[in-house]
Amino acid sequence: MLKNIRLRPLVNFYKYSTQPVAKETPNYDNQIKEFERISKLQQKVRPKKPQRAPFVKNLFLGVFDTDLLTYPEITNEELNNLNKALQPIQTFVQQPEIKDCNKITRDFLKKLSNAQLLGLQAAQLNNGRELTVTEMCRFFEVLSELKIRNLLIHNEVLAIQTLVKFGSDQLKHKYLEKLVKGEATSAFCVLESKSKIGERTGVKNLDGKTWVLNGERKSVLNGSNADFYIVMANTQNNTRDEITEKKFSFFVVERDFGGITSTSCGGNDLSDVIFENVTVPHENTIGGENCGEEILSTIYPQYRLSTGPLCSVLVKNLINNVTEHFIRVSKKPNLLYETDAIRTKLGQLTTSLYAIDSMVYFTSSLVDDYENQDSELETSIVKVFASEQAFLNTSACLDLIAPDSVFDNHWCKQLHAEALSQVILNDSNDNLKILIALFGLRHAGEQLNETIKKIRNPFYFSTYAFKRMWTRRRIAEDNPKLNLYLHHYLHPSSMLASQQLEYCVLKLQYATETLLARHGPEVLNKHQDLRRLADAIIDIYAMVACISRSSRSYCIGLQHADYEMVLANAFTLGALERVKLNLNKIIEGPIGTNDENYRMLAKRLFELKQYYPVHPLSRNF
Amino acid sequence: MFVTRLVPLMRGNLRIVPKVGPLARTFSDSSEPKQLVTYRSFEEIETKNKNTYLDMIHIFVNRDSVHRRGHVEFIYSALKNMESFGVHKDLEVYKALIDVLPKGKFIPRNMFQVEFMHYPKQQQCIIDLLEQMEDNAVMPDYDMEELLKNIFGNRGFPLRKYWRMMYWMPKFKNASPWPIPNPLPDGVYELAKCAIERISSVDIQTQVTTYQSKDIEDCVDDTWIISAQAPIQKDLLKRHDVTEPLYVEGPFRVWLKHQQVTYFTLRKNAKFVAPIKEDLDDVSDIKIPFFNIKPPVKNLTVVPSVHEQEDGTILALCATGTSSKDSLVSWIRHLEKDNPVLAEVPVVFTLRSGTKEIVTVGDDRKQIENK
Repeated sequence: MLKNIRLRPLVNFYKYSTQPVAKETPNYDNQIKEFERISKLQQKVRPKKPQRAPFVKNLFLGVFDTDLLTYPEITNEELNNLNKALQPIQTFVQQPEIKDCNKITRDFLKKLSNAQLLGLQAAQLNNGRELTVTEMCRFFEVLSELKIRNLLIHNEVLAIQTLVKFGSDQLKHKYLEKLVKGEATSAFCVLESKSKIGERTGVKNLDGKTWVLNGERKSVLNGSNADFYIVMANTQNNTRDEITEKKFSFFVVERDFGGITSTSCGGNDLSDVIFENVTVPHENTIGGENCGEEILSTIYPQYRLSTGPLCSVLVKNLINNVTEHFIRVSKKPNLLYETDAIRTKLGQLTTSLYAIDSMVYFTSSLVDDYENQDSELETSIVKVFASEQAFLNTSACLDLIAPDSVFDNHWCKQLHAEALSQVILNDSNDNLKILIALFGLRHAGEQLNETIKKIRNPFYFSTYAFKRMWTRRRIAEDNPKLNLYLHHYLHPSSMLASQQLEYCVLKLQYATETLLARHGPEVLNKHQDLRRLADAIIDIYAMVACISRSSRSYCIGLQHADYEMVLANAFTLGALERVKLNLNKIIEGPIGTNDENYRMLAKRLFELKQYYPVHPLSRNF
Repeated sequence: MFVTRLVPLMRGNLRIVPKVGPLARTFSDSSEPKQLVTYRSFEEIETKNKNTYLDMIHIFVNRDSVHRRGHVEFIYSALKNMESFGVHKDLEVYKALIDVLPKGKFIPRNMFQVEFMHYPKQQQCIIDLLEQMEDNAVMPDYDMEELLKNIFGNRGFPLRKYWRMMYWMPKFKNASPWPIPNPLPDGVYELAKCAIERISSVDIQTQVTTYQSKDIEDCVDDTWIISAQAPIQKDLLKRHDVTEPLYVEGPFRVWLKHQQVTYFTLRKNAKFVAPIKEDLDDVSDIKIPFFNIKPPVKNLTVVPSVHEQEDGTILALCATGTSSKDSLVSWIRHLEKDNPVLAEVPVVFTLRSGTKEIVTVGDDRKQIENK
């Protein structure tokens, strides 16, 4: 596989110097070192396959890309390189002063930078590692051992990534290198306070050379310590017929520009950052004016994906700790680890970790292997699924190992808090779920528009209505004909699971059609159904990842492959129940579900502004 | 079978008796001396309150404790005078009135007596009493049931009336979707606050604030102003075109039970919204909102708020202690602090009449002076 990696020295000259002329230093050692480093660099060229149709989005249409049932692999060469690179990192991370450090200091950053742990995806010229997404996920797994992981990964996937992908050479030179060298830290400021959405926060000065930023950004990680802020500001409002179209731009703002105040708001080093008349030179715009949405939609997928490895390690630690715990506390004749209660729970934990793991690398390879692959949906799913599973698992364990776990400093409590912060940090899962469903429905809506029009107007298209009744009779009876033949692409042992998956996909397509036909464009506001749809698609995607991984492992005979098969089957069966429940509720509509009751109750709640039923002991006469 | 079929028929016939029959006439033309005494005595009392009313009942009961003649007539005239004594909402008084009737005498002994309304005059009298209770929204209690049982027995018609009341009245008692304190507060200020809160509950974000008019310079009146404005209204006001006038309108009336409160609105002319043709079948371009995924969105338009009605957009609401123009001016001045745009907009006061009172007690048409 050597042919994939072409070797050539890489030296890039700037056309114009962007730095003031350096004073001659008598010490040439550094320069010699630098020169050596640059000349040793080997550019990694990884050929990408042509773009595929979006995978999960197409599931909404019942189209299954069977090629993806082959679980992705990386080459032996790459794997060896990766393991070689990881080895020193693993030992580095295990050092107690690194592992337990809970505050970013210059010293700490310098150490990280020396271990080349900053700027994982930055160009090698900039002292980065130029990792692929898959490799980065693997790195993140190792980094997750650190106490300070959130800050680190946040810094990496948001700030550094933005500069790497969109920064001009000048910005890269000025800021990225500092970040990579550990001379500065950054914070990424996007969230506005809810009440102030839509206020213009960035105004261009008349001379066109500077911008003035105003406004507040909520829950910024590392907001109080950062040297640079990557800020998204609303720079243009195009109002037409009362509909305001907002344009955003990204800026690099140095703390030294002045006018920045931050107030720390508790755990996780979160702060609210306030910008007051901060003047920013025009060169500090990232990726050009009004490109904010484009930047966000490129940066966020990887950011969401990064939750995957974090949670995977979290659950792994959880499982290992719990297993050890039960081995330790079991004493003759109470062998806890032989009880049904413990076994079933831990089995569930293992299954869910298996699903997280499979999903993370399935997705990362999707991003890596194909040119410009549309993966916004897949990465969002990883974020939601991984964090939700971590949360559910940790709470299950808290219950399982009670009463030991009541104390706040118990490891399980800490894992639980960590999982919770993954659920709500930045993109809350609930919002993301609705987004997931909408991504899918938008895609489906484009393709299904004609069909939906016909279904919604049965009196204009009566032949079609009858035809549809006939062609869709089997799925309407919940007994679809499995005509995707997914098991043709898998090991025969996965037959049952693949058929269950197929059923889910077909049912999902039917539910999508039904939902669009029922609400039309109003579907946008049917959040409860959107949540269900999202839950279903998340489960289905996890099923695909599990089944394809286990089938591959079984075929090539990996260690524990037989158990992987059981894991995949177990997950599929569990997911099938959930998917069925969710999709059936969508298909049944508001009458069949409980939604209408809840809506009514909540409406009254807001009218009365508090819990309204009178006390159970109250009398009327 | 016979029994049940006859019930409604009999009751229907007999109910009319006191209204048009000779019995009723005896009250109005006071020719018969016996009733004249009872009737007048209620009228002649000078201090009319619950104590004197109860005293009247005691006097009647003690005067002729053996035969107690004319008790039906007494009860009817007592019922008539309840409101003037201010006891028409008092359960205790009703019970005292029922207690006037002798126990045991009117209890029927067989089914025919039951069905042919044993002692019809007395039964009808108590039915009318219960009816008056119902009209005044006084809910009976279990003591009254005991009382009625002792007088008319288990199958008396007043008992049936009582049971029907006990079925329906509790159900209606709390049925109002806009609950207000029960009993209503006495103060004018509290009443006005209840009223404004009730009206402004269309938008649950509304903030009700109380201003003092004297905080504004040049204000003659010294009174309170209860003002209600929602964030949406503030926003609407902010986006208001300053060349178009705003109108302060009123007074309008709102009722809280028997009390009336007047209020004023700040209104602007309705904006003509062209009905937008929307293809409700087109799902080809579902727009995903970039931030803030949950608030209700329409693809093409901003959903008009509840304040924007066909006949105008309501921007704020108030009730003042004096309802005078002067207090309304200071209301606008107070609003100006939150809504600077008001300083630039012409505000037109179109008040229909300069009433001085904001709360009228509906019962005796007596107007309560404010403060």
